[in-house]
Amino acid sequence: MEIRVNPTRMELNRLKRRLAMAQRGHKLLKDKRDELMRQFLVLVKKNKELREEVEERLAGAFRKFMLARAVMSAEAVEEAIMYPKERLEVKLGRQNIMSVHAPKLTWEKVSRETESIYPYGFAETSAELDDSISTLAELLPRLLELAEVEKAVMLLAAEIERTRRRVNALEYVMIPQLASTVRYITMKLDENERASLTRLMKVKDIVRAKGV
Amino acid sequence: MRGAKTEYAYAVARVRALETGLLDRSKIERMVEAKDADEALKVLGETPYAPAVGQLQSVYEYEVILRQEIAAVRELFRKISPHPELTDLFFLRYDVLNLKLLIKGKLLGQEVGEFLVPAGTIPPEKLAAAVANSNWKELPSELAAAARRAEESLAEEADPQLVDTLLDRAYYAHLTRVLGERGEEFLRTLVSLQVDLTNIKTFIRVRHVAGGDAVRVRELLPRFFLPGGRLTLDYFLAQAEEPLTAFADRLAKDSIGPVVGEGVAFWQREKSLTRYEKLADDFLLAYVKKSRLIAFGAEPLVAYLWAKENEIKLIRIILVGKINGLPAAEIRERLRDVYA
Repeated sequence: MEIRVNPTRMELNRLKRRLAMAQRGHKLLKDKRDELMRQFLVLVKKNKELREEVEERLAGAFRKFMLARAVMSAEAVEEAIMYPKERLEVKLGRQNIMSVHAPKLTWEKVSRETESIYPYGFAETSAELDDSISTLAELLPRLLELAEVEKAVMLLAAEIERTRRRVNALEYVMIPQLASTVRYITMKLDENERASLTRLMKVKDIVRAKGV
Repeated sequence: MRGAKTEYAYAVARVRALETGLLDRSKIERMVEAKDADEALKVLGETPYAPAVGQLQSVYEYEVILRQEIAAVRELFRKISPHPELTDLFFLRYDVLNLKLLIKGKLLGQEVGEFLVPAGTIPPEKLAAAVANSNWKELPSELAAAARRAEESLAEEADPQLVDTLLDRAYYAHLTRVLGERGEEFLRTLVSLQVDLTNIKTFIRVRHVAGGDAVRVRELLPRFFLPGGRLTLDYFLAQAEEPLTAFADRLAKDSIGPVVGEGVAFWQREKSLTRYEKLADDFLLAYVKKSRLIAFGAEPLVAYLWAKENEIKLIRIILVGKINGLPAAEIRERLRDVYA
């Protein structure tokens, strides 16, 4: 499909400029896409590793928690952990990956002279709870890291899709359209030129015939 | 005092009759062998738990039965015991649990009503009102002082561990004092054995937390240490540097020696106190069983309560295990002995 235009020289110049621009844009976007893709793959790999680690250790922690839950009453477990001792302050920042704004999480522990992370006394609690709580405490920074990476991966994926759409639109729609329109105008102009040339020759012939 | 104990005749007879209704090993074994939680519950439905099991909508509500069971035992003791205040000492544990929940809940501004256990000596609603007004008059003196301190210090420092440790220590101090005053030697020894076993467990846990740093062990242990045991705090502190095996060897000749020896060995192999906790519970249960030779007194009543709590623990381990698809071997590893 072509763009409907007046086959004029001015239009031709305009379209040629647009075509050149589209080709440059296409090349740049393609580079961007490739670079995004590269970064994406790195992040995805990191994400996969993190997620596997977190899931495995979480499963372990929950298992231990379940065992603690088996030897303690529901109320005792609730009492033991209802009031957390550790406090984590999470700050939300920004990081720029190929002009994609991904969140950057920074955190720090806000705890006083922390000597043990357990918020409960040892008299009425099972030792199986300790393991579970300490694993969860170790895991929290990894979880935050995972959250950060996973969000970045999601944003990058969306950006890649958008970029790819643009690249494809340029490559398969815009550029062929412009090219064919340029060709159409060139041919039209050539045609006009040939028409006026033959017309002139014809006129010349007539003039010459009359003049004799 | 001694001669007057015949007044327990009726209460002891009642309890002896009830003891036959406790789950025996074969019932427990059938529950462990059940293929899922529903089937295990069905086995429970063939026992004196039948009426309660019948009311359950699903197996996940098992916790309700277990709670009611303890409250029912207290009701019974109040009716049959000539000195319910003595057996109430052992139900005070549930008051302490409720108290911890309420104080923490108050400071967090969180509703804890659904978790309160109705088995304590003070009805949960009354205790809730008392905590809301910081009115500690209803509580025994040690607990009242601890509750006041816990609330004060938590308001300024926000260390929830303090609530637990203060109240736990106060509870055992109270228990030891009253049992001593009343000359209940058997029960006094029971509590001191329990305290010793708990303190040893705490010692191991604190050493683990401190990661081999003896200075920190010395700093942390006094906070968790419960009063009323035969082994003193100094006894533990003096051994903060020594390896656990030496600690266990020193206790080898004591009645709790085998428990500590095997528990510590398992801990060093597996870094898990599961075995120790099981052995400690079994040891106390075996001690409590000796009350069978006592014809008159509060001992058989306390023994029945102990057996009931043990049974509830057993049921919980099995049901939680079954609900979560734990293999039978792992459930068995945690199962305590059976009283019957």
